[in-house]
Amino acid sequence: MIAALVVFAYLAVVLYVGIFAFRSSTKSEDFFVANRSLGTAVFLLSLFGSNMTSFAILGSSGLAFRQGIGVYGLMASISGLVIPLSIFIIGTRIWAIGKKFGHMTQVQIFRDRWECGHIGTVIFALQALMLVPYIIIGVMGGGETLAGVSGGKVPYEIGGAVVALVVMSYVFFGGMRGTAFVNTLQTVMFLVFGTIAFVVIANGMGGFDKIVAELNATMTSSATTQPTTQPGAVLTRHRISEGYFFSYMFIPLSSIMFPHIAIFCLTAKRMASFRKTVIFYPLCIMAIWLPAVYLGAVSVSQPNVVAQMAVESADFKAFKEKSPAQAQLVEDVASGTIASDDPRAKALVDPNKPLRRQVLSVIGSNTDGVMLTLLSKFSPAFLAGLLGAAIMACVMASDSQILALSTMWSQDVFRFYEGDRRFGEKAQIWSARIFVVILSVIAYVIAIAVHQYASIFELAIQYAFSGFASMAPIMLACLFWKRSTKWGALAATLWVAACLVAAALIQANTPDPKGPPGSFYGLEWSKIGDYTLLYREAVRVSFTEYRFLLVFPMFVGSALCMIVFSLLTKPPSRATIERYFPAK
Amino acid sequence: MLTQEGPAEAPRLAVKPRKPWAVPVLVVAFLGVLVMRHDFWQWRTTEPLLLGFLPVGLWWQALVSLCASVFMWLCVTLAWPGHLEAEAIVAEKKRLEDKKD
Repeated sequence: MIAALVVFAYLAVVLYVGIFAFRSSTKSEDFFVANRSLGTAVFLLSLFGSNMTSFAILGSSGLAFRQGIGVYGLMASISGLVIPLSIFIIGTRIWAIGKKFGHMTQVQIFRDRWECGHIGTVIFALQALMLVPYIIIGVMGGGETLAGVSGGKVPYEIGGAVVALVVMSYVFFGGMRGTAFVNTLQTVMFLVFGTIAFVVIANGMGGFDKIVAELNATMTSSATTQPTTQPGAVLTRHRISEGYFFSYMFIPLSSIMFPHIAIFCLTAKRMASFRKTVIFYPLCIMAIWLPAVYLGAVSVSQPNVVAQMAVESADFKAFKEKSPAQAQLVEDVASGTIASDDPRAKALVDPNKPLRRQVLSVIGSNTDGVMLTLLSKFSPAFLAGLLGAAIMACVMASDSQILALSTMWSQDVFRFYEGDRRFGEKAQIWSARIFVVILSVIAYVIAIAVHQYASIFELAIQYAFSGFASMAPIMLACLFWKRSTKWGALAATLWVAACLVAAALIQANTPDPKGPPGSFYGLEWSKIGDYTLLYREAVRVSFTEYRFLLVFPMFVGSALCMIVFSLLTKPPSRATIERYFPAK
Repeated sequence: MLTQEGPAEAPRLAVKPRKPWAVPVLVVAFLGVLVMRHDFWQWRTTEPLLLGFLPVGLWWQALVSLCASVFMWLCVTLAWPGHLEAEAIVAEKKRLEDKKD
């Protein structure tokens, strides 16, 4: 309970910081983009904080538990290259256009640049639909984290309500300024306590070199016939296909297309703020992802961690009914009744014992709790609370998304359809605040009602990344290609929307592959001659035998739509093009 | 103050012209980091370990992150789009004055 109290204290501080930033401004530019006045330090830390969702710590370590250290190269190192580069190339242009013309959202830029109205509304609708699952999953993550650090004493429903209320309050009062303050605090906390966690957990585990030597031994053993299934495979990239790894490089392009990141680019006072941001961004990613991925991967060697995750899994009850003696052993190891170095406990991580396979099967893909389990097993309660608060900081990254959606609502709908002219600028800000409340309440209700279907929202987010990344050609064409047109933008948007719907339908209507993790099969109907175009994997549909992510064909298709339909249609007026591309 | 810089009235607008070789150098550097990231040649091994506990697949990718940071420093140094800032600040001033009127 000490840990939960520390987290509650942290939430109180966050609330104070967010509301402290409140200014009774009636200017929409202040509420939505902090008067375009953020300094370098806050700009870097809060931009980074907005990009770090719960996935950065809970999801990455959970995925590393299943797939190994390759998760870092898959997601973090490429993000450290592509995200700052896209901020450098696109973000600086968005900032300059915002300053010049007063725009606050991407859709405002598109409407002005391509002289369109309702096409902008279509883009707004797709962006909003892709963003909503994040907000819901943020509330779910908050409820789960509070329940986790309190050992179940704070129920999920109460935890979710507390998080939703805290986020709603500081976004409501503080707007962009409050959100930026809070994100800065969260990022600093995360970096500091994340480092402490790494050291404490390393000590608790008894030193990493010993663990690595043991895991490595399972890979070099002469009896090893299937390296992918050995525990030591987590130290290699046996479980990640090269095609999947390659195609993942398109995903970080989604970052600059996320409305909350693009809007954030408008908050800097000077363009100089971007300099340090893009240089330090890869290092910040490394500081958070490297320990998270490493700890997630090596925790497969810890019997008490594996046992605890199995006990908390939804399938454990069925396992207990089927194999009561083995389930009792797992429970005893989880509770500490049987110590981790006991030979009976070692059976949970021994590749030659069937119990390991059974327990991993019980855990399945529910591995996001590995970091919280590590904290509860290897750190004192007070520190676990501080680290739980740091994890909570990441989970609460939904604040920027709520603010972005309310900004989009206010600018792209309320203002576009002349609400501000009829009711005034003050009403525009209040419409955004009311939108924040409604959105938070809806997110909470959905998060409570469909908690058991969290995987659906995770799936939606997975495809939303592909969706936003595939919309990058629209932004690139808007900023760099004079000949681009609104019809090209519409075609690309519809292509992305159609691909997302098709991918979801395919995934929903085809069975999961049977067999060990990493199994897949070709979809017969997608054959062209002898060549199979689409494959079904456990958590996704992939493209060609190389198992590329769908973002690869989606991105290429979106770029082609943009080019072909732009060339076939009339460009915007000369005056507009000259405003955006002034003669040097 | 940490969050807000001073008044914007005196921006440093001196714009350095970009060197003609800057873009080719940056493209080569970008491709270099991208190739480093796709280290398929050490896909299924843990060796050599760094500090006795970091497998090659992890420390190599951490090295990619460091190189990405150096690459971004090169971008900022060689191809900073300073002209955008100069234009934007002048235009913003005009926009805000028009709004007042």
